[in-house]
Amino acid sequence: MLLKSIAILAALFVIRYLAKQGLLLGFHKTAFTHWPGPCRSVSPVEYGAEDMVLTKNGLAIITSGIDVAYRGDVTDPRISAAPGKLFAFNFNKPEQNATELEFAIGTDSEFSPHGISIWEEGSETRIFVVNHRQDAETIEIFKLIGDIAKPKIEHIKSVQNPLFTSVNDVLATGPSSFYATNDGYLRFTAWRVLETLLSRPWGSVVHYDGSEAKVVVGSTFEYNGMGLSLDGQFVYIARPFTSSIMIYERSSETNDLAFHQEIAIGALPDNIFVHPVTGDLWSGCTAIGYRLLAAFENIDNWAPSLVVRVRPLGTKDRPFEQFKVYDVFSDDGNIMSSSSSAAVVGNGLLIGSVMQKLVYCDMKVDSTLSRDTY
Amino acid sequence: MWWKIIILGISVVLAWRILGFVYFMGPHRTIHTHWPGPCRNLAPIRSGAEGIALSSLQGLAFISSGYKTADVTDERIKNSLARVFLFDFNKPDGDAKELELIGDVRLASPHGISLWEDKEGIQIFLVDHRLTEDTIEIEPPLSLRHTRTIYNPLFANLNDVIATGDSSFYVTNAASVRDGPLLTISFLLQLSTGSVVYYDGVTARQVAGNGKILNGITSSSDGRFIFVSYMVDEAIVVFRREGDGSLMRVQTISLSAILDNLFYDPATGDLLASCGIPIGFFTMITDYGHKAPSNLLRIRPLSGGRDNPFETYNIVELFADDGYLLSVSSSAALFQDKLLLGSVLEKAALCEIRYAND
Repeated sequence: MLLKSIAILAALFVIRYLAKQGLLLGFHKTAFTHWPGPCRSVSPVEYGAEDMVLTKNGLAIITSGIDVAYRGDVTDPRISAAPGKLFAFNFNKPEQNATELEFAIGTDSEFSPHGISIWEEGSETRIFVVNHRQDAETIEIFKLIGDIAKPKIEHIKSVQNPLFTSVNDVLATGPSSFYATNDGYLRFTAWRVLETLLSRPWGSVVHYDGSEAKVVVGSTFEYNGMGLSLDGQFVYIARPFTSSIMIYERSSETNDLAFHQEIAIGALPDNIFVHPVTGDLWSGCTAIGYRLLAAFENIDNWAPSLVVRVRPLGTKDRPFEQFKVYDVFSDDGNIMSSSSSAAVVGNGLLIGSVMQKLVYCDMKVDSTLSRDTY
Repeated sequence: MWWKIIILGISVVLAWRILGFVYFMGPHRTIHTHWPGPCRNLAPIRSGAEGIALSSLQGLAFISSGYKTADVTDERIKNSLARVFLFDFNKPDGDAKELELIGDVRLASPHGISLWEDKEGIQIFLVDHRLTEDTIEIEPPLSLRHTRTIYNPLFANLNDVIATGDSSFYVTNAASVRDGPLLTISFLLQLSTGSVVYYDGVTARQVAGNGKILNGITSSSDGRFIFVSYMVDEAIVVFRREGDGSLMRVQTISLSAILDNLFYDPATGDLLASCGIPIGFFTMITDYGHKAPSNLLRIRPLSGGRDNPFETYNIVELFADDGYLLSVSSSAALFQDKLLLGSVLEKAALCEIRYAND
């Protein structure tokens, strides 16, 4: 009798788990193509544009050639084979190609980039890049020099810390300080797959103040891209596994984070771009989870791409108490696979993907503008 | 022992069917807003714009308004006026105009609408759900002068109509019964009781059957093909018309979306399918203020001969809304770069298309 009850309970747990995973993986979902205007693929980016940042004068710096080997999963070998690079794209000359930025990181040039951030103060611009080195998670800090037509970057230093367990994205808070999201704990081992499958909350958000690091949010599960509100009061963190964006209140003195709100956005967000004028959150997302997994196994299986725009409609203290989500760009197999990042200047929309292309769209439509509603 | 197996078998089948119904209701579907250009609501439509018939020659759209079902509980819907509106695409900044109905007829619950245009003028074909029967009205505008009411026992639970001559048409039946517990069971268990009926001007006969909930129906400009929404199957079925009015199934276009009415664009040969989330409709009939999402898909034929124009096609989502502009969309009409959209119970919207994928 007892055995029967245990068996039924166990079966129910399994069914619940499978249903949850099934809904997350999105087997029931369909992606429809719709662009906001004419779009084109930007050469010569071929192997990813996972994350990007935007300078005040309209230059985008993009990480390419992400190697997800740190997650210990079996993926298409072409993903690991792709060399890690940094590209620049000039929004002021959007018809031009992206240019590859050359740099050297000390003697061992291991460069497996992931998230990227930017700090602009006065005339100095610093670029922060997550680098999955074999032996440790490293944040590389660069200086951006040269003019917008001929940008150059120079490596300043590499930052490592035992609290950097499995870094996904970085968010600069000063010339040498930053937040980093650890999307998990284990790296470069197959056990990491189990950590994710069993939803173990072994990730965290840490802050590095220039010399020391501390955990500001502990026990997190798969936190991904980060963004900072225009007034520096809120930190936005993408959590794709719950199709939501986590909002934290930030203390500018201590850099501590306090949980504020979780917003469900109906898509799996990767990286977040906070629009420098409107403060809206633009996010390169995955529309259908299982198709992204299929793309990791074979990059020829294009995963549908989606860029959403989340517009806050709340108050100054609770900006996202009410909000509206717009699907700005959606594509299933026409121009790009597996979108993960976005940047916007005027009507120009730049979209990056985890393992594939960089796409530029000239937006002819803005659904946030409406004529008189009856 | 045997009883147990039989009961188990029946329970499994029933459970599977009901699960299918829950899936059909679509609580898991998400639709986010994105418009093809600036959009606005069209005054003064507030009680629905369930069907739209377009004269593409003249740029005139006829909109049926005031649809209601027996299960409606919200007073605002129950007491809504049954009317036909006119929108002139040639005056795109204007409002919709109510058409005066001349003749000894009172509309009850207008549903699908179609028109036939020839040298004599425009005839409007309107599905109306009277208290005890479903009928088709034929009336020429522009103040609608009622000509005929057509009732036939094969008009079981009419949804939409497509005119094929000045007094001939096809209609879709969503089910084989009009209301009552049998209809509820038919929907819950997704029984295939829907059908397509052809009326040749004198008699009616069923030309397609065994559909789950058949909804919108339209035809190509040359009248060779009839397109039907198979709502539960999330597909458009393409039929070829034979000389005697019978239909030959040519193709099934899978949409992975729950669709209502169809619009055939004579300029491009594209099909537009107005889609939504059914649970939104069922919530709205109890609460008129409820906002449920809508989207519009464009199916563009890419290749195919005269016998099967949609052999290959692409699908683009032209419009989507979270419900605040258009709640539970049901119909659409495209004229040049203007898109008119209707909802089952509430408002209509007019959008300008600034950009659409090829």
